[in-house]
Amino acid sequence: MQFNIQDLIQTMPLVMLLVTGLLLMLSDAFNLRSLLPWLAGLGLTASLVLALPLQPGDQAIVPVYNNMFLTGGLASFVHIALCLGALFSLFFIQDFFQRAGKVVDEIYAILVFSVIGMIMLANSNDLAVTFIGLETMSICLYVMAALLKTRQSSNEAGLKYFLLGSFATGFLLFGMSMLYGITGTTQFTLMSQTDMSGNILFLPAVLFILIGFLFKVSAFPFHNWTPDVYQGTPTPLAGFMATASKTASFIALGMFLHQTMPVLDEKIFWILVGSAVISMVYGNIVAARQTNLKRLLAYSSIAHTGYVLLGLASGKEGFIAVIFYAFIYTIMNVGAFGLIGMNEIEEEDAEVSRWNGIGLRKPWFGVAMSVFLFSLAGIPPLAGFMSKYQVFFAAVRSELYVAAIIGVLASVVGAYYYIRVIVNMYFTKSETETSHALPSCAMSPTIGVFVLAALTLALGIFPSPVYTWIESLFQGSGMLAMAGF
Amino acid sequence: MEALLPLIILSPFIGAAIIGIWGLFSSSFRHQEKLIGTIATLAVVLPFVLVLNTFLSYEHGKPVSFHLFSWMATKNFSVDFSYVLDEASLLMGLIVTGIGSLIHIYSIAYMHHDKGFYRYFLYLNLFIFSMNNLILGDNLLVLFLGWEGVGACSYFLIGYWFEDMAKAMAAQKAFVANRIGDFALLVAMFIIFTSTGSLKFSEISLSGDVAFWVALLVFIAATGKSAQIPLYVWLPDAMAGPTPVSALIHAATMVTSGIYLIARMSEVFLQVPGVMILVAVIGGLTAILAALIAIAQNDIKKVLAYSTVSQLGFMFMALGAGAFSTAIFHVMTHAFFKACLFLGSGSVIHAMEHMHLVDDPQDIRTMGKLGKYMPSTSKTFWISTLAIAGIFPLSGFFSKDEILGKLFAAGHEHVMYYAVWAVGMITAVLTAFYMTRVTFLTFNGKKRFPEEGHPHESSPLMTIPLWILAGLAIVGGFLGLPAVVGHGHYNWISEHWLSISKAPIIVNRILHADLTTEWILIGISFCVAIGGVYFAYSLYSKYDLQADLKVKSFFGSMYRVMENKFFIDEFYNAAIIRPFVWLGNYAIMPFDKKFIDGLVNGSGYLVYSAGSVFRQLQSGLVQKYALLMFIGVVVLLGYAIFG
Repeated sequence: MQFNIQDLIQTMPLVMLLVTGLLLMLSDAFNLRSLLPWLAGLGLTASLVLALPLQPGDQAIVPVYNNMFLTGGLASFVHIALCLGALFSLFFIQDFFQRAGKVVDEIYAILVFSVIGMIMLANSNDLAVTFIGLETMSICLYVMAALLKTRQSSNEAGLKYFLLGSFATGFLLFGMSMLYGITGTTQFTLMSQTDMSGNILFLPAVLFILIGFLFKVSAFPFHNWTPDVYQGTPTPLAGFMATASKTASFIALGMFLHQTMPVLDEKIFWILVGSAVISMVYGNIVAARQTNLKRLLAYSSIAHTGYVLLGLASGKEGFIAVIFYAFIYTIMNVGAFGLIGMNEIEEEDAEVSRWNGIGLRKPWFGVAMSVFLFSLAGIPPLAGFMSKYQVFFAAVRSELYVAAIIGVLASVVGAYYYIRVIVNMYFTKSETETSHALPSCAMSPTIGVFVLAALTLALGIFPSPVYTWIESLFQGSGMLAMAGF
Repeated sequence: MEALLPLIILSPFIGAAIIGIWGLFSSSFRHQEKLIGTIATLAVVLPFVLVLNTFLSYEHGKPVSFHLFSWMATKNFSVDFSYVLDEASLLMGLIVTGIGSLIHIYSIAYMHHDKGFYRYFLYLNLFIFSMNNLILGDNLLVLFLGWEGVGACSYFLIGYWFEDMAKAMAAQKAFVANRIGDFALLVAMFIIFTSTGSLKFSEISLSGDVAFWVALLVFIAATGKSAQIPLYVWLPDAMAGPTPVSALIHAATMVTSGIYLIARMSEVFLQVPGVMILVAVIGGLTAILAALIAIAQNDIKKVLAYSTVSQLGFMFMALGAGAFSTAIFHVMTHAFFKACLFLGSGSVIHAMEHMHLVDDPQDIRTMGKLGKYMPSTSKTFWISTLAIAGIFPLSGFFSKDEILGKLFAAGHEHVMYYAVWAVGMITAVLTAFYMTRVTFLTFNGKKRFPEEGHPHESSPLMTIPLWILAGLAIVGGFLGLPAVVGHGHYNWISEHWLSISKAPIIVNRILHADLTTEWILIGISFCVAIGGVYFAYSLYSKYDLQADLKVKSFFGSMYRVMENKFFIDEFYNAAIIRPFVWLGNYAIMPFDKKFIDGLVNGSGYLVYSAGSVFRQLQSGLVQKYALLMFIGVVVLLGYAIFG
C-alpha cells in the first residue's frame, strides 16, 4: 500500500472537516466560546465548496486509497448533501441550548465529527471503512442524544440508543466477518466479481449487514428505539439524527447492495419490500395516535423510511429517487424539528396541546410549520410531493404495484396526523397561556426557518435542477454502471 | 394579448402573495380592509378579463396554450407547467373567474370587521389560483396540483371560524374524505403514465382493462371532490365556513371539478359502459337521497348544501348517460343559481345576526316574512329557486330537461338508464318542493322572529352580485335550447361550442330520441316543476310552519330517518372510524407492549437477570426492544434460509 498525494487532494473536503473538528476542540480549550458556531459553519461550508464539482463534466466517481473510499461524482453530491444537513441544523443548535440553560460547547465538534463519520459511511467502498464510518457516526449520535444531562429522558435516550445500537452493530459486524470469510476481500467491487451463488453463508452474511442498516434507518422490525430516542434527544439534534444519519445509511445500504449484488437477490429484495410496506403502514397508523410532536415525527420517520426502502428495492431509478428523497426529507424534517425546538424550554412543550393557537399568535411561525407539515404529508406543490411521487413512480415502473398502492394509501392516511397538528395551531384556542415567551425569535433559528421553508417551496416548484444533477451522476460507464446502475 | 395569458394563473397567486406576506409582517395592513379587498378582487378580475377576451376571439379547434416552465424533466418522466385554453376549459374558466370575481366583491361587505379579513382573502385568492391550475392545466399532474390546492384552501376556509371544535372537525372531515379521492386519482395517474408514457390530456388513450381501472379510479376521485355517495358526507358539514365560501367553493366551482375531470376524460369512459352505468346509478342515488334529506332540514344552509349534493347527482347522471356536454351545461346553470342562493342565504344570515334577537341565525323556523324587509334578496332568491326547480323558461329548466331527456334516450343502451331517469324525475319533484318550502318559510308567510326585530337589506356590494347572478340564472338556459327547437341547432353548448366536429375535447355518446318522445318528456318536466312548486306554495301558504307536520305524516316513520340524514354519519362512525381507532388503540399500539411483555414473562430468566443492569431506566424497555429486534432477526434469517 502506498501513500499517494493525489488521493489526499481528492479527499480534501473530508480533510477540511477533520481540521475543522480539531480546531473546534482546540478553540473550546482556549475559551473561544462565541466563535464555535461560526467556526463550525465556516468549516462545513468550506468543505462543501471544496466538494462542488469544478466543471460540469466532473461526474465520474474516483476511487482513492486503494479503492477503499469513493470521491467525486455521486460521492461529492452525498458529501454536499450531508454537509448541508449539518449546516441546516446548525441554525438551531445554539439558541436551543441557551434556552435550555445548558452550555454545551462540545456539540459543534461532535456535529462535525459525526458528519465525517456519515461521509465515510456513505462513500465507502470497503467493509472496514463502512464500519469505521458507521461507528464514528453512531458514537457521536449517542453522545448527542444524552447531551442534556439534566433531563432524565435525554440520559435515557442516550443509553437506550447506545445499548440497542451496539446490539445492532454486533449483527452488522458479524455479517461483515462472514462476508470476508466467504470472499476473502473487504472491497465491494471485488466482492461482486467473486461468484458466491452456491455459498450457503452468503445470504445470512448479507442479511446480517442489512439488519445493521435497517436498525440505523429505523425500519420495521428494528424501529422500536426511534420514538424514545427522538423524544429524549435535544430537539434540533433529533432533527439532524433523523435526516443526515439516515441519508448516509440509505446511500451506504444502496451502494453496498448494488455493488455486491449487481442483480439483487430475490429474498433480500422481498425482505426490503416487506420491511418497507410494514414500516409505511405501521408508522402512519401509530403516528396518528401520538400527542407528542417529537414522537409523532419519530413514527412519521418510520413511515418515511418505508417509502425510501421501497425506492431502494426499485433499481437504478429507485436509487436516484431515494437520494433525491433523502435530500428533500433532510430539508423539511430539520425545519420541522427546528421549529419544535424553538418552541421548547421544558420537555412538555413538545406536546401538541402546547401548540394550540400558535398559528394565530405568531403567524410566520405557524405558516412555516404548515409548510413543513404539508410537505411531509406530500401535498403539491411542496417538495415532499415530488420526492414521494418519484419514489412511488419508480416502484410502479419496477412492477411493485401492490406495494406502491399500499404506500400511496398509507401516505394518504398519514396526511391525517400532520393536518391534526395544523388544526391545533390554527383552529384550537390555547387553554393554558404559557408563562415564558415562546416561540423563540432569535436571529439564527429564524433565518434557518425561512431558508428551509423557502427551499421546501422552491424545490417543489423547481425540482428539476437537483433531480437532473443526481440523474447525471449515474450516466456513462463508471463504477455505478458496473454496479448494475 | 397572448403574452399576458400567464397572468390568468399568476395574477391570483401574486395577489395572495402580496396579501399574505404583507399581512404576515405588518399588523396595521391587516385592518386596511378596502386595500386588501381591492387587491384581492383585482387579482381575480384580471384573469376573468383575459379569459373572456380569449373566449370572444376564440377560433374553434385551435386551442390557445401557454407554458410557464418545466416542472420536472428527467429521463423517464417529464411534466410542464403548461396550460391550455380550449372549449371546455374556457367555459369553466369563465365560470370560475367570473363568479369568483362577484364573490370577492360580495365578501368585502360580508367579511367587514372580521378579525382575520386578510387571511380570508389570502385563502380566497389562493383558491382561485388552484382552481385555475385545475381547469386549465394541460396534464394530469398540474390538475392534481390544483386538485390538492383547492382541497387545502377549502379546508382552511371551512375551519376559518375556528372558535368551536365542531367546525375544526368539519374541516378535518372534508380533508380526509378528499384525500381518499386523491388517493384514487394518484393511482390512476400512475396507471395512465405507465401505459401511455404521458400525463397530457391530449395524449391519453387507453383501452381494455387499463381503461376500466382508470375510469373507475377517476370516478372514485370524483366522488370525493364532487360529494357523491359514499364520500358526500363532508359537504353538508363544510357549511361551517363563511357563506360566500359555500357559494364559491362548495356550490359553483370546486365541487364541480370531479364532473369536469370525467368530462375531459370522456373518451376513456366511453370505452367502459359498465362504469358509465355505475356513474349514472350513483348519481341517481345521491340525487334522491340528498333531496329526501333536504326536505326535513331547518337550517337554511344545510338545505342548500343537500340541494347541491342532489344537483351534483344530476350532473353525474348526465355523465353516466354519456351526455358529457350536458353535464357541463348543468354545471354552468347550477353555478349561477346556486351561487345566487348561497349568497342570498348569506345576506339573510347577515340580517338575522345583526338583529341580535335569535339564537341561530340560520334556522328558517325563526325567519318568515323577510321579503318585506329585504326586497332584493327575496326577489333574487325566488328567481333562483324557480330556476333550480326547473320552471320554464329559467335556466334550470333547460339543463335539467336535457339531462333527463338524454337519460331516457340512453335507455336504448341499457334498461338501467330508464330506472335512473325515473329516479331523476322523482328527484325533480322533490327539488321543486323543498326549494319552495325553504324560500317560502324564509321570505313569506308569518313573521316568526321577535316583533321588535327590524332586519335590514344588505349593502349594494352584496345585492349587486345577487342581481347579476339572478340575471344569469334567468337567461343562462338559452345557451342550450332543447333538440325540439330546430333539431338542436340552437343548442349552443352541445351542438356548437362543445360539438365533436369542431373540438374533440369532450366526446359525447350519440343519443337521439324522436321528436314526439322529446315533446312528451319536455311536457312532463314542465308539469313536474310547476306541480312541485305550486303544491309546496299552496301547502305552506295555508299552514305556514305547521305544514311540516303534514309532510311528516305523509312520510311516516321515514321522516325521522330523513331528519337524521339517514344515519349515514353514525353508520360511518361505527363502521369505519371506530374500527380504525380501535385498530390504533387496541391492536397496533399495545402490540409492542403486550406482545413483548408476554414474551418477556414467558422466557423470563435471561432477560430479567440482565434487567438489573438497567434498573436506573424509567421504563426498562430496552430489554424488550432488544428482544423484539432479536425476534425480527430470527424471522428474517428463517425466511432467508428456509423460505
